[in-house]
Amino acid sequence: MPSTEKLLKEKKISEVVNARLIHTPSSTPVKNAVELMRRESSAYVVVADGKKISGMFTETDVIQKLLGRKVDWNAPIRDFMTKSPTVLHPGDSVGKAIDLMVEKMFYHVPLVDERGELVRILSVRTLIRFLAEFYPGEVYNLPPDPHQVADTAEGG
Amino acid sequence: MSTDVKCPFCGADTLPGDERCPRCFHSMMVREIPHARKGDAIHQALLSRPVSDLLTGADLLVCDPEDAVQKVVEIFQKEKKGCVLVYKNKKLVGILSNRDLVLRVAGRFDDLSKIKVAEVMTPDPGFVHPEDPIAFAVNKMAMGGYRHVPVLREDGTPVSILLIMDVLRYLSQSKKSY
Repeated sequence: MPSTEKLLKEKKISEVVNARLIHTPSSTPVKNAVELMRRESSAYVVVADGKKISGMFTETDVIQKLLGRKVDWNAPIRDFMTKSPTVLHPGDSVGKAIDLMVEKMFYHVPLVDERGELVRILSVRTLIRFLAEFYPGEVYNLPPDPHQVADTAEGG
Repeated sequence: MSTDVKCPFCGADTLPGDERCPRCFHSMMVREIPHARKGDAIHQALLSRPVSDLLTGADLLVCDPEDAVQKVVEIFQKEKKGCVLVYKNKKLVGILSNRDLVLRVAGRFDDLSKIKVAEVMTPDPGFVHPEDPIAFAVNKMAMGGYRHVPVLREDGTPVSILLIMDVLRYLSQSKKSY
């Protein structure tokens, strides 16, 4: 089993990220975006026209900018999103992603390819699941010998 | 020093040697925390350091099930918070987070002053104790998909709300210092 430090440095985001990606054009009425979040049980929506990212819209934006406020729910999501969000690349390390999320308090970071086009999203939940799987079952399902663990994160 | 073992899922008292938690039937046969391998300081820290190492107490908000959702939203907006514990008769009965508000409130009600917290909260949330290993909290967050985990004393009084970001920050800092 590699050390956590080494793993966080060497593990690429592309190895832990999942395929789920919720996105919508910047002209989408904000009420439809909230409905999309509800339907998909998603805490975010990436705002993108085609594959070009224009912003991020999250649960926090819903609470801070919409709930109980006198706003037009038919206005486009671009009026409420966080513009030009920080992005990462699928080839960046998990450690780099953690540092960025902690420093900026981001719960979600869009991933772009070398052309700057949206490919995936990395969420803080994905990272926690990765972390939990890194010492799989060691808390709840100990093998007979605690040191008898797989040599790699994938179980060999 | 107490030898009592708490069920990691529901917090119930179990006797040493119990095969399962008498309350929730979670297996208690694998409760020992293994020793981390030498040289992996972060791994060791997650398994051996207690949740209390991560707590600031700064995020602890508590409301009543009868409180209006509007009041909670106003406090979230003013304090930039995203989670409140719901207590009734000094007992934790629910949790209300940004997530609940998006899934059950946003765009569905015109007048938030007429909705009670009890109608939209997530009832009976899982929790951890301050002395539990950080790995317990990580496991709870990973399995339930939660970003907030209540931290309670043995008597059920609230200590703090552990944020997923607190865990990541700990990891980020550990990574640098080791």
